[in-house]
Amino acid sequence: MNQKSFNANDIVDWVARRKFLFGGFLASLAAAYGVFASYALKFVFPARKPPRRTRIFIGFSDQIRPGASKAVNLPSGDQLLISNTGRINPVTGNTFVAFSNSCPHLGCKVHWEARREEFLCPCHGGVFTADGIAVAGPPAQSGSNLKPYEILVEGNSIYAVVEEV
Amino acid sequence: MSLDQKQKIIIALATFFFITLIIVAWVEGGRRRVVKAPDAVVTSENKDCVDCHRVKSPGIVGQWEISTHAKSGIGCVQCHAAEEGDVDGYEHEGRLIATVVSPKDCAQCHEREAAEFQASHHASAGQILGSLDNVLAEVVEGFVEFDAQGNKIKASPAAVSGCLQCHGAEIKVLENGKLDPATWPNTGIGRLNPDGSRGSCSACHLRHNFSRAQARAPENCGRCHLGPDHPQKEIYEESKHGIAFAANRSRFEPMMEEKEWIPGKHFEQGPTCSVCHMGATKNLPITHDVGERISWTLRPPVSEKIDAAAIKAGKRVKSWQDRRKDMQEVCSSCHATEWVKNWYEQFDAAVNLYNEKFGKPATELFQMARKEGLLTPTQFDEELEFTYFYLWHHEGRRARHGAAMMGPDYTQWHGFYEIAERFYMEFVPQLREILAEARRHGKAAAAARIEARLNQILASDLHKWFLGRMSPGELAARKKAAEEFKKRYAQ
Amino acid sequence: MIPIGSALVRANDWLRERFPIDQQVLISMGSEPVPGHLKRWWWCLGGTPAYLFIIQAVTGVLLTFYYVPTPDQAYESVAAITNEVRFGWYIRSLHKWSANFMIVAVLLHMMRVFFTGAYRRPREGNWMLGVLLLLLTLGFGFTGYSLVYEQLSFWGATVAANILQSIPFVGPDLADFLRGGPTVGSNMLTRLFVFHIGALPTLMIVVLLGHLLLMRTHGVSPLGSPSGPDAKRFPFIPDHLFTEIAVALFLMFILTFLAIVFPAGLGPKADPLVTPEHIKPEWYFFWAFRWLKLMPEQAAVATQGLFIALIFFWPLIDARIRKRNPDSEASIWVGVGAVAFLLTLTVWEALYLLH
Repeated sequence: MNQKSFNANDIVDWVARRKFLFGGFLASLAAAYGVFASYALKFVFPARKPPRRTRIFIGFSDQIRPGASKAVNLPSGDQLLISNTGRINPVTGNTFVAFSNSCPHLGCKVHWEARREEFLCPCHGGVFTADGIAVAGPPAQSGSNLKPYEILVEGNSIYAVVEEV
Repeated sequence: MSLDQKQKIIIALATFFFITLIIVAWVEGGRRRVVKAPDAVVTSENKDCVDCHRVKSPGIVGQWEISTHAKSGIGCVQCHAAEEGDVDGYEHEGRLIATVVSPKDCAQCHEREAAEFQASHHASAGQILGSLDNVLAEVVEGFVEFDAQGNKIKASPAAVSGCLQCHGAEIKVLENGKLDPATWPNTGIGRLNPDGSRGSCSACHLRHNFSRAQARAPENCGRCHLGPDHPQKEIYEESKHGIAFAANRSRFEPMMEEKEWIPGKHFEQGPTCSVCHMGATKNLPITHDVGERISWTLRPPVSEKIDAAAIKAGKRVKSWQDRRKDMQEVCSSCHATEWVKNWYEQFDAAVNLYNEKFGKPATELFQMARKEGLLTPTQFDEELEFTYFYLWHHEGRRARHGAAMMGPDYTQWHGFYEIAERFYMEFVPQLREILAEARRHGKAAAAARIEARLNQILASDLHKWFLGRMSPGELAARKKAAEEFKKRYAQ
Repeated sequence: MIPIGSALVRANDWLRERFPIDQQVLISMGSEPVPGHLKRWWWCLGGTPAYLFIIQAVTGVLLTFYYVPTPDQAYESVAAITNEVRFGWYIRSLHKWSANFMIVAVLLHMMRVFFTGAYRRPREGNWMLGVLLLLLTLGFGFTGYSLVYEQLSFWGATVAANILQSIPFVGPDLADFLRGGPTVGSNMLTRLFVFHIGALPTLMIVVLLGHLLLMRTHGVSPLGSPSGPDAKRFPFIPDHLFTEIAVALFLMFILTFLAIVFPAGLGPKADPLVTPEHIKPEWYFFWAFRWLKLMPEQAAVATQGLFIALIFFWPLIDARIRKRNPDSEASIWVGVGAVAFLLTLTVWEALYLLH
């Protein structure tokens, strides 16, 4: 095709005549660059594989009296609040509960009120039961509870089950 | 080049590109399958310690990082934290810590092991102040100073760097809160710690990685259980157990770090010290009381069953029969019942031979000499004292241990042979000399009493060969056997 | 059967209504017939670095999602990209190989332009823009390599700052500018990062657009006699476009292949307290490195500056020469000499390092 210039109709004509080859041309380009694009997407979207869980030593059980609580910084950056409720939970077999002490409302730190047996957030008055369920304040309105952590007690040692960082 | 050709070239190139992308996906998939080992977790309270000590003492941090503790975030503070009132606590970079980590500290998590260990003979290894060995270390070899109140103010280096490194020192905290250099560093297994607990877990479980494989290795026990007076390590290496372990060690080692190491289940041969003396079997739980499966005590001049002392003191302990049964339970992981039963008969016979032929007679004669005043009150200033000491403390033990742990060379040539030579060629002549000396200095009656007893002993069946009184029948048999034997050689 | 033809027409009408750009102008601009000599692949070397720049931009943006430009995290983030992020090793290796190829392609293109005299009147300006593009590309190489924060990255950057320091008059200020202060530290890494992902790309795009615009407005310089290959012309779309697509695919194939067989690795992490035994820059700076070892620093820097000025102003110098002697082939000899000289220095340094 030796022409000085051409217009859109020429392109259309030419495409119509070489449909099969042109189709193959487009398809091969699409396939190759498409796969490449998929790799680029996989690159930026972090993998969704379930993170491995491991247990982190939190403290000694004889150092957290019933009614007391202790804040522990986890390697993931979250802070965990572990409290000794004094009552044995029939499901877990121990007296400890642990939650992320980050209030689901705006992230203020909650603390354990031993006398009332509930978690209190000082910022806007969010209140959570000993099971971390929001019952008052903005968290209750949006139904967002404290994130719980599973606690293992082996002998005198307390461990929290966390996701590997 | 025509358009069609160009398009075909493009299709071809795109296909090549596509194929390389497939290879990229394959390479990526291969990498994903590699599972990363969990890293050490440095929690916020340990971060400062780790950051500084990583530079100042990188070995310590490196050891900890590969430990099981580190995987769960158990770090410096968990073990080294001290409480107000701890005599060895001090402030370090804003924290109250103690250098010494005692079994009491380990017991915070490892309660059962610590309790078993505290009850064991290992934990009382440091209480040797009254022993003869201690006299040797502090008086004969070294020199100690006492103050007016009778407190030791200068220790014997022979003890500090020698005996006590295995047996354990009594750690002293000085006025200024620092640890007395004569007592620290020390990881002797019977260490007396400032917090009142006895023992040191790190005697066997080397810090800071506390590896199980290392604790199970025979070299571990061999740090202390070796040498002329109790060559358990050398005997083990001579024994078939040791040979089997050595031959299969490289195959076992990767698995020895696992929690369970049960004979018959995880390995089929070559037990190490910890396997028989402490380890779990298919029926027995693991114990940190190393005496739980021992029936004889082979330590003293005359061996007795291990519960004899307790019974004498009116205490109730696990009987030696029960302990033996437990040990036999371990043996049966690999050995048939008759094998085990017969072996124990051999073992008992060897110990009894030592007791009857050498241990009891020598002890009796020696104590007679001492009681009758034929020896000076000072220990180890006369040859007979060393001779007697060697006899029971060195070759006497070697023979017994060799029999106990299947090391025939130690039983015989390092053992009974040397006992016999010592007894006949040194002990008896030296005793006779002392008796002669006694007669010269007006103690003839005492000398006569002792000589009578000596002659009685020598005339007994066990010893009468020494006096040339072998029975004719036996003499003839020996002569015949000797001639048969000579025919093997040209000489 | 997919009716591609009518679909295209309908799509065309739809777009025209919403984007009322005069398509004819665009098409005529884009479809100017290409001189026949461009059917030869040696003439496609201009598009190659442009395409590689696009690859660098794409992979570069992807890498920026994970790279952290602070001294205590830079190396670790590169390691994470290489070892943990999905296809991280691939994107990074592409970026590295494409960088090397881009420099080679720019140099080859430059040689092609030089030896075909395409820089001559009236295209002197475009040549100068091209030299700027070369310097920008080398700048990309330098800053990008320093971001990895390996030992060689750090010490290479240190050496570069020291060299700048010794330029007469403006040296110390330039060095301070590069370092972001009097010493090599975290400020420098931040600056290099800003150069690499911000300042240089912006400059590059601007200069590149200028280069392309000038090239389009001047038209491709004619080659040879009118009765030669240029007697025939061929359409840009689709012919030359397809050529460019083929080149692009070929590059993707080769780069991916190299990424698989020679993936980008990681040397030891930068340690400001330990100078490695052999500091060396990337290969494209070997010539300068070797030159620096042959004479005092100030003399070397001055002569290198002169050399670059010579290249930059070459069209004007060449014009002067040909004014005196119209048939002069001096430019060819100068070109050959320069290439040989640079190659010699490069190989010399390479052999010295291999030893």
